Amino acid sequence: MRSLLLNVNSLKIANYFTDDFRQPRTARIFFQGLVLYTFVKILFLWKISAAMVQYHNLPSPGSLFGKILLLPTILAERNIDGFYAAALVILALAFVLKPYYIIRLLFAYITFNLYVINLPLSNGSGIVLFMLSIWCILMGRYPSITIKGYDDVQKMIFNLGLVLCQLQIVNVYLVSGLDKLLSRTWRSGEAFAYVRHLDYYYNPVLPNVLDGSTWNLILSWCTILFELLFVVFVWSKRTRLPILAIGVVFNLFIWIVLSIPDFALLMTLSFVIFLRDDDFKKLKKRIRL
Amino acid sequence: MNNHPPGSSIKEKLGIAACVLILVHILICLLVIVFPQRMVHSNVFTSTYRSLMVVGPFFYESRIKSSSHLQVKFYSNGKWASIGETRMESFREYKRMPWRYDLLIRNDFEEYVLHQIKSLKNKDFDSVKKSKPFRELNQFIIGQHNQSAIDSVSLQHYIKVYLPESQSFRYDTIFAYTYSPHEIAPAKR
Repeated sequence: MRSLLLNVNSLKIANYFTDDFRQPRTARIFFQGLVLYTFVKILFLWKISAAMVQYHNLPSPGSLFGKILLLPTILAERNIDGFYAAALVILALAFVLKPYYIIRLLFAYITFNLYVINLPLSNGSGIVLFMLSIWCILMGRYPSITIKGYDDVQKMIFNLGLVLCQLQIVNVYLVSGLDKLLSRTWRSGEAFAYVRHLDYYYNPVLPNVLDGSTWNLILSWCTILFELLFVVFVWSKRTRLPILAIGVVFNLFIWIVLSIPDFALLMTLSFVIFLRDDDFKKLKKRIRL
Repeated sequence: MNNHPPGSSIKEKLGIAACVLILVHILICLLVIVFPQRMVHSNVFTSTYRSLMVVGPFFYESRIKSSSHLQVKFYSNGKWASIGETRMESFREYKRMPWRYDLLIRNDFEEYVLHQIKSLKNKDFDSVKKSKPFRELNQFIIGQHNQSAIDSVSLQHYIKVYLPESQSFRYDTIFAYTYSPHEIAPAKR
């Protein structure tokens, strides 16, 4: 009996990672979303980044490995406009082409160098984008391996990338939720009183929302609970979509009230990786109705 | 009798290997979150893991308690003119035009350079004005206001801390420098 159970479990595990490419449509849409996000971000960054490079020295590595890794950064130091123009062309290709490994590798290479070049302008979204782009390399599918047995390796790598990508997002909420739970300022609701007085972040579009201590306490605990519950609920079939919907509202709040649009947009976009291919079919049907 | 198709054992092994990888990854992530951060950052592997795999938290306590400000004044044609706080002006503009995300990015650079200057060990101005972040800040300010005939610049960097008990603010000056911009070497030649 025991050996039978073990056998069933091991088969299930094997099935999950090697049977097929899990959620290929979702993975593709997710990647395209990241590419589009980077494209738009570059359009906003370009002028300011070009001005910054006039008086800010970009890193210049000494080792050969560092030089290869930061080649676009070295080129950007000489010609920032050339770097951004080339990056936009590669991003446009990445958006339209099939999920080739090489194009995903190039995308990760660009996001890494974009992060390094714009480190003084970064707010956390740069490193999240880079890590997601790394996992996207694993979710490539072309050139496809047709040799029997080896195609399982390709499927396993794809599915591994998908899970690692999901875990990357979950970790952001886990570490953030725990940090808030351990902080007296957040538990007491005082955090929102502070946020209300952040001169360069707080946008009073919702008047009186952060005025009262009761509201602050409620909002504080909603934030803590959402971040911690996300870690658990996003894996369950019944709670996955509701928690993602709450997450969208949560990020909309960060975007509008806390004035961090790029981070909020990236986190909202990252929720796509938790969707299933069926969700898109259902959505299509609903739109038709 | 074997019901598995040929090659299925390799398939299973691959699946189990992936599962083990994921479990190890989760375990390391939990360890770098739970363990004291000083301990985590003392080791290259765990430090890298903490910085890349477990990104955040972003809205931590010290970040939300205060905001950093820079007051700029220029002396030219025999009088001082207050430029005020360009970051505040950019943010006000952004609130009017929320699609102008670039206005927020511009502010981030000032914040970054101010933080770098604040972190300098030697606070003596002769040493500070030779430092890379100060030279960058000087060039950034002069460039932003496009003023060439400036005799002197006055910079006051202060931190505004909100005190919820009294619903008031405390202002802590980090530095206040008055200098001639011509004696500051360019940040980049």
